Amino acid sequence: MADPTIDDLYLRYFPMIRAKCERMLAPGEAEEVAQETFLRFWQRGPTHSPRAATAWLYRTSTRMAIDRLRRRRVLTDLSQVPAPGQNRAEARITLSELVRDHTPEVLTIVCLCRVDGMNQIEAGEVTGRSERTIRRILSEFDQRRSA
Amino acid sequence: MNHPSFLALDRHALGVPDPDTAAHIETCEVCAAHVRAVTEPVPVPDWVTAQQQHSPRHWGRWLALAAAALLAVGMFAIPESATQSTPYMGTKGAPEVIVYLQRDDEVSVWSGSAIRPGDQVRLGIRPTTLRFVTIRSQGQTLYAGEISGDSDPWLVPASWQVDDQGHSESLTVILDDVPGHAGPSPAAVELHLTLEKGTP
Repeated sequence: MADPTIDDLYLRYFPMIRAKCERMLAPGEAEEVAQETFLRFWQRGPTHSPRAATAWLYRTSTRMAIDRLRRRRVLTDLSQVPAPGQNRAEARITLSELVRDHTPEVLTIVCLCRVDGMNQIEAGEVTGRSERTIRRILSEFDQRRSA
Repeated sequence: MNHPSFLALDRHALGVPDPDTAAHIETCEVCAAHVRAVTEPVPVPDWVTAQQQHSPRHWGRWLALAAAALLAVGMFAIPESATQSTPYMGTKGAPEVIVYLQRDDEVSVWSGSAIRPGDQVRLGIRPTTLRFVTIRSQGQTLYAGEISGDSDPWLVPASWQVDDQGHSESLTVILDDVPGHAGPSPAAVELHLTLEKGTP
């Protein structure tokens, strides 16, 4: 199979990268993080597996968006984010609180599950963590927020 | 209604088979709309096509060589004539932009000599407190993003190939404490670089 060109990859993946980033960031910042994610995706070399590609893209874009939030302290209310697969009330979290109070690892898992609506199996696949670890981190996160 | 995750929807859009997700999309307009949105054709912007010439398979080697070139900068004195011909831009204490050239798989810090069509240009930035970078050429934005991590210098995750048009390549690097899309802040620093072209 021939390697895809960068145009091929852009058409195939960039809209979903941008949509993913817009669930965490304001549009301008989302576009920048999406661009950087895409360029890193291109530079790491071709992949023919959409499953592996999407796992990498979700993991990388989430971490980069969190890094952006930690620097910018953007006040974004996750309750505005449509998140299929979850109770919207669960998403009533302010990211500015999250970046102040939690580590990037915890935030990555929380965002994948509560913003992107992943179940524990999916979040485990994307982050390379076991389902048990995902479950524990989410539980500790919820306990800390309700304390 | 319980919806699939965005990951599941995106994978469905890419053709990864999942009967449960496919069945859900058949009955859920919200999820179907997401799938339509991420599969609609979009125009490919200039910053993407500008990368087309650069094979990603060589990138890892280039990164390694660029790191080696950086070490060499620290080990050898740079002639004054070279510093005057701007191997990097900036003054002491101010942001520095280092130019790396890849020619025939060899990477070096640009010495101010003429560049050639086919050369690859990549920039390294020694950041200050200004964390957002925009790189422009001839009115087009080639790259815009945040300086992330603590690497020194920070390497712009993009490179550009020199074409055979014109006698020089001009780059403008804007460092700012706000993203480029927000417009320049009072803290913004703009650095200009001209690389003259020579014959192979």
